[in-house]
Amino acid sequence: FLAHRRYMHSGVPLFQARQSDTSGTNVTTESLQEDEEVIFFSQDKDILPEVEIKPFRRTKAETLMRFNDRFVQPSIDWYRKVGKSHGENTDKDEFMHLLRNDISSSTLFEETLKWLSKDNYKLRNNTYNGYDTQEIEFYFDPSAIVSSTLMPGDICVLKNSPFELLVCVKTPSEAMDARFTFANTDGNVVYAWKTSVHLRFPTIFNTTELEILQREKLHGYSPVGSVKNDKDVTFVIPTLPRRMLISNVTFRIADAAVQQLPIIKKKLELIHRYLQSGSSPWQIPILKLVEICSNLELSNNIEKSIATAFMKSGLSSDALYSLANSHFELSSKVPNKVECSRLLAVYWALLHQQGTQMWGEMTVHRGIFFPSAVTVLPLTKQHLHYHNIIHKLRQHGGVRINRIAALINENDLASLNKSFPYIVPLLRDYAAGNLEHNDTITSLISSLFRKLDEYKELNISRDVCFDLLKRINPSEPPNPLLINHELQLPVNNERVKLEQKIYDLAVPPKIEHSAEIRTEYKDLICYCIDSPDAHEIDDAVSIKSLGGAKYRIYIHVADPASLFPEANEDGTTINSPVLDIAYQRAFTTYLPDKVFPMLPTTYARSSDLGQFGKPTKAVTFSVDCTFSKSKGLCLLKDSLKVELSVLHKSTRITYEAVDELLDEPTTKPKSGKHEDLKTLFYIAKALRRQRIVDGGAVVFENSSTGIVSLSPDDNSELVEVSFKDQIETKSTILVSELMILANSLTASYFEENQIPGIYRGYRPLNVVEDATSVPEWVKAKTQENKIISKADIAKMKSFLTSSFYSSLPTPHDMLGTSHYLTITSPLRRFPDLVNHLQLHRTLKGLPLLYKQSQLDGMVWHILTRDVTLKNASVDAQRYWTLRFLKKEIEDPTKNNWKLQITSLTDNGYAHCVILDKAFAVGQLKINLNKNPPLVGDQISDCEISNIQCLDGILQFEPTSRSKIQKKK
Amino acid sequence: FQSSYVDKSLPFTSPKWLVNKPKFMHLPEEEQRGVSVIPLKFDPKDSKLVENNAYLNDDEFRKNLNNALTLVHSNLLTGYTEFDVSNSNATWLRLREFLYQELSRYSHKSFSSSSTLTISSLLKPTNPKELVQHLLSVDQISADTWKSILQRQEFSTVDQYYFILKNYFSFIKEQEIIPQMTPSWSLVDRGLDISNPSEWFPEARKLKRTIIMHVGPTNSGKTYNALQKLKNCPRGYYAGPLRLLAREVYDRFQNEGIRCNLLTGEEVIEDLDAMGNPAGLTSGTVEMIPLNRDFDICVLDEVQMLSEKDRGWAWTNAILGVRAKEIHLCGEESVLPLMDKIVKLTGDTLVVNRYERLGKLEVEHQPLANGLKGLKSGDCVIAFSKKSILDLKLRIEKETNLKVAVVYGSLPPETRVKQAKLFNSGEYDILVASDAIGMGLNLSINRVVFTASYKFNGVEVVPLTFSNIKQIGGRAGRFKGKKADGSSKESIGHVTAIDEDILRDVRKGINAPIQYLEKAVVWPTDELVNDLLSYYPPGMKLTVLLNKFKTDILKSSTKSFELSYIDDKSKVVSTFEDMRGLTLKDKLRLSNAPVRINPMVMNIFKKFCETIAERRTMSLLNYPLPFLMLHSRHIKDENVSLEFYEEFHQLINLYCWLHIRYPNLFVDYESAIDIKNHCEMMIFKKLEFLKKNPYKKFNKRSQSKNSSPKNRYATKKSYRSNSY
Repeated sequence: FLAHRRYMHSGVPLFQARQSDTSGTNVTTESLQEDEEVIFFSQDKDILPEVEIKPFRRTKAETLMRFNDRFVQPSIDWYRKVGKSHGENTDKDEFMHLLRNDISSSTLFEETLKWLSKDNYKLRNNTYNGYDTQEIEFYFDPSAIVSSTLMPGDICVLKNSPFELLVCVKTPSEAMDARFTFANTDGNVVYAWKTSVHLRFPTIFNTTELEILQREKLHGYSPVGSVKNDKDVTFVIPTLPRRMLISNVTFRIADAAVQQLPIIKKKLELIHRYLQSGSSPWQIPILKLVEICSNLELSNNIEKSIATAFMKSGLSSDALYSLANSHFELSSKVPNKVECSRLLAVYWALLHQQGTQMWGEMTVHRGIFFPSAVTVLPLTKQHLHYHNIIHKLRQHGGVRINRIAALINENDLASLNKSFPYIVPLLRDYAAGNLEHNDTITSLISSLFRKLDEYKELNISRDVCFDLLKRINPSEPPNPLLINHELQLPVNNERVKLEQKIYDLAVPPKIEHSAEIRTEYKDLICYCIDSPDAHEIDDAVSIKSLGGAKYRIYIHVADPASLFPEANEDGTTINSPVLDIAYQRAFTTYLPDKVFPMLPTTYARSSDLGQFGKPTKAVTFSVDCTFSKSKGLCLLKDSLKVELSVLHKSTRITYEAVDELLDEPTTKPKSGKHEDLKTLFYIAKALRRQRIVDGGAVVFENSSTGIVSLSPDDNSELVEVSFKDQIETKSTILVSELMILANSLTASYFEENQIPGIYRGYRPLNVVEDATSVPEWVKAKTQENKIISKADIAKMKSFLTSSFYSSLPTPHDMLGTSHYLTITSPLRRFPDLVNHLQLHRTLKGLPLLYKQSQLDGMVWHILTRDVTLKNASVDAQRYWTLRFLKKEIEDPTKNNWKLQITSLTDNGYAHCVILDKAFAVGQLKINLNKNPPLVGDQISDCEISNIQCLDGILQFEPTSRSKIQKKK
Repeated sequence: FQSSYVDKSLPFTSPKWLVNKPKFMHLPEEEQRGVSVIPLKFDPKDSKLVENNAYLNDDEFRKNLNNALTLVHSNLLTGYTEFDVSNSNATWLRLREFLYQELSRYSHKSFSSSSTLTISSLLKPTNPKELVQHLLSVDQISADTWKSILQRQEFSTVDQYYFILKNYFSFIKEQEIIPQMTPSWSLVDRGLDISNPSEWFPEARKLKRTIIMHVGPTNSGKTYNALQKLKNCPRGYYAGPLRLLAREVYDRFQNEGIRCNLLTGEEVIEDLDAMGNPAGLTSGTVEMIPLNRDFDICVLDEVQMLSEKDRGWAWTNAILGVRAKEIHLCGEESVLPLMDKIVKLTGDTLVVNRYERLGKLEVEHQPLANGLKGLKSGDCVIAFSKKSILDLKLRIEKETNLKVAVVYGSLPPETRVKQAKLFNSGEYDILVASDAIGMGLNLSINRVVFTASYKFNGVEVVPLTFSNIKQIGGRAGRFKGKKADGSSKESIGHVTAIDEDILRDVRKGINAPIQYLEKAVVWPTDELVNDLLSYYPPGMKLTVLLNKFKTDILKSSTKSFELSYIDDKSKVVSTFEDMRGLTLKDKLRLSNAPVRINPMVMNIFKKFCETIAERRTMSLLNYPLPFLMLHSRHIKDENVSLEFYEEFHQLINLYCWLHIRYPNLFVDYESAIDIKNHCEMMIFKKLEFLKKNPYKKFNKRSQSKNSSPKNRYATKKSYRSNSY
């Protein structure tokens, strides 16, 4: 009730109600006989102040006035403003009957239907325990999720109240506050960050201009609206739109979900048993899970009903339970219409069943505000195993926990491992965050630690668990995050271990050259610019002068697709196991402690570029352009050529070497290489200029600082933390601009030739009113080519969202290109490999390998892996950064840090980050009596008060010396 | 919901609903039971079987296969538990069944090319139907690949066969046998288990909490110390037992210039700064304490209420679930042993501060000599309702010439402090006060006079418990300030009553030993109820679930916990249970509504629930309440009873209660206050009129209730009012 709801109560003098004419003189109680006299009454004169007893008639009149001003008028204003756009004639009497508060919600529902988008609902007549109602089913189209951002009218579920449906009523509207505004079925207003939206149903209403949230007018009575950032500015949800749009729609969806929840839970439990894959966790797209649930008819013949359900959901695996090999089919087709309450019921059921280790994390993609997948946990190793452990630990009033605690306190670890072998794996899973949703296990672990002498005074956290684990098992690897279920590294995933063995034994098939027509580039110098320790060289660039100001730019990309028979056949099935495994991994995993490549090393080595003089296959994208310092750059787009090629002369050169060449003052180029690189650099700068000016791209000059890198300590354990900064130099601009050029040109090539492919999009948040000043200001800044300060980035960050993969051409606003199809890193990104295979088929005139419907399904798996691996990388870097900080502050003199504020104050804390340590993100305790700092301000001399590396908790407290520097 | 299974309730009643035991039809008869047989036996007479059967025709293959099967039989048919072993045995039979099926179909020559043996299908088998083909094509994989797979330089065909059989064995066991043989663990009779309710609050369990007990009799300053700590902590919550105590702490903090919010069942005041951020400190009732936010310090007052049958769950959940590093519990000694048990469960540290009575307490031998005239200055007369307090004030002032001050709940705070000062300074001789008041008010009383040993608890008249009597009596003997040398003057508190019977009860109460509380009352959190409800078939009634909780409890041994009263809750729930439009959250919230079970209140309460179901926006005046009765001409009208106005008053309170929880559905709080004032005036005037000319015919109902002679003093009619 506290959060953002303000209501002044009887304790505070009310505004004087408008003086009605009947207020009589101050009449003593004796003259009771006169009718309707205003009397003042007190039960005991010398004790109680007199209270005015209004005659009922006057109370009624006043109530009517207040009610109209506060609740009826806003609805009228709303309908006049928005009803017009709905083809309603808004003259007085037409819609007034809707305002009577005795109108039933079902009659109001006739009006609601006019506001719903036609193809997203279906009316069904059926009897519902006795009386006939018009049942309505709401639908949404999964492609609408990927092709739209969070808009007013979207029906959402927020992280901290997952069992309640809210309607987004307003997108960010203030420059300093990037929160969205939601309303629930009771009309309560809730403000939330974009990261807390975990589920949404788009385009339920046929318009996004619903204007439901209104500024409360000064009607003279005490305000009833809710406060956002200013005590005297309140906002209201008018009654008519609340009842008609929010309450009517959200209740029907939620109620239908509640009705089917019990059955859905039973179905999911059954389906979970047939989704087992080599007793290891894997991530299934949620939309596929919903489809299987819809197709499943529970019947006494379990095997038959499961078989039909899987077959209807596009799984033709003959052996019902051998789903391991139909990974590809399982996650490659997605229904095009999904019923909202069915998805909601599955979402709720998964939340409940997470507590029994049946399902793991639900991966939510921040760019599309939707749960893309959920992790299927192994039946024996997790669900049955932990059911067993909980039973054991709870038995006989927890006697085993006491026994375990005693053994640990006596440091008798040998007999601990002998009689309680499950303790080490339990601590390991808890530290890795695999038991995040299991309340019972959390309580049992807490009660164990309360009995351990060394830990009973501490808060229980994953750090404390890992500390005990290290004591019991000293040879425990340093980073428990690596055995996270979602990450699926071979270290604790049986299936991936076997797949890695298949990779180790995999030898790329010998395919003769003759079959394809490839352009031979015998003497064209191809520069592979990369860092010295680069694992896989994906790309190379070349330039050829065509005389005068005319040049031809070449971007060569490694060609691993050529190693797969699928590139040369005309079938549409995936046969080579390496391709299926690469699809499951979807990306090379880059963590400070480990790189886990997407393709087998033999495949990568035999297809990456960079060996001089050894003819290597590549895919070459080349285009003509005219460039001169004076007239600038002009790309001749129709001269684009996409071809399979063989490179003979590719040379490796590091970024530093390129920078040295480019920074040489002499205007006269020393060598051909110098000439080529200089021209390429100027063209790259011109390309960036064009992207900014024409495409409105947003480019951050300052680079990200505080990237973690690990080096082995004396007993060769990767634990020494050092920080690198990714500085943007001329060479990085050269390479990145040419790669962006290749990806955007190929996007148009794919569209022109109607080739289905995997695109990468970025859709800015829908911001309104004075929040629009932030993106405009940033665009202006980049136009003038000015550096954006750290404070401004902090302000802007909450307005940015993340890019995403899509199977349909989608604009990429941040890069300023209309469409963007990733093609330049096939060795470490599966979407690029998909696009390469499609290119191979097109260039060889063969039918395409992937159909559009398949890509629509696959993109959900790719989105999930993209998010999972990005989160894992961020978590790992934060873990190591915090471990570094924890060691630093062991010397108290070093415990003072300069912070930058990155969010408004909420519940006494404001988000912040340590300057030049990108991953040292934490919270600063704010003294509520002083006025709180704003986003972008910097505070010096703050002390770390609480640090939990694995949970990612970092809390600061200001010291007496702390000073706030206000940033412009 | 269309599902065509024959027995609809099967998945909800039997854990075996998803078990589907394999039938091994293809196994020869005698093998179906035992697992001892190793060699495969084919029926020699059936020619089709024999004709291209590799097992029968190729001795080399048969020998190797039998040896491999022996290895599988000896190594893999193991298991920790009997359930493991039965799974392994079933897998063994299933494996042999595949062998029988496939061998009778294939021989060397005729296997199809699509299922050739590759590294991937060797390491990661996916289809047991290809078992025999893989056995027959082991040499399709190069020798050194086999070496690196088997990690042995030399290997025999038996080793290769064993490797293939082992992979298929674990595949069949993990992917088919275990999923189809294991019963469901989400059993329906899991039911509510309150043996360890501390498990319902995992976030609190993670915290290292220190629970500081302030234990002692009334007015021993225990709450004062806890409040001092709360004042200067950035995020704190004071949880009082009653709205009025919370209001008192709120007023005190505000007067001392400390920002504080008020959060009670009927009233919410947010102390916002310019940016709209609420204050860090909050004073409220215990039911409203948020368990999903972090605090630095929390104070829970009158903690012995945790064993009260209907409201105790709020204290227990607060103690178990509050996420604060430091929790101060103020209450009576009687709660200590129970708190010890609870703290053992949660693992928090317990610190006990004992506060002694200031001065001795003596129960007088004789009751008041000749009624009210026996009162003397410094006496405090205890009564249990606002009406009886005000009535006593009038009668004392009439019968004696003593000046009388009054202190009771719904008095505005400023008046309460003024009245206390008048009494303490001696300007007024007598204080008439209600039992629950005095917390935080310095009242220098030297004698407490009981006027009854019964009390109306809002539902019915019940005898005062020993702890009530101790608490009220303990108010006497408050130290009168410092003596010259700074030590507090030795002050003796006296306790008496207006008649012999009441005095006997009071003496028994004061001298009774401390009754230690055994059980804390619990109630499941909304999330838990939501989870439990979803294990039953759709359409399961909430009342049925609530009543089932009782049977669940019998099963789980609960030494220190018991379940809150269910009967009133389910009676209230049954009124709105089938209303389409109410969510489970609404129903659980409404189950705590302060509703008296009588026709007029229930009828209007149903309409209130309809408003929520329809999500309408209504004011109090939109409901069919008898507003026209609010007119002075009805005061003298005899067939409009006092109870009628009291029920009307209860409905207005219920409206305010709903207004706090649904501010946009039950609106216009101002009109509710106007009507409430009007109703209270009618009640007072009606009472005054009744006193001057009592009912002609005796009011049957009130007569039976108070016929017992003991209560001689209580006024003729027992007017039950609860609005103090």
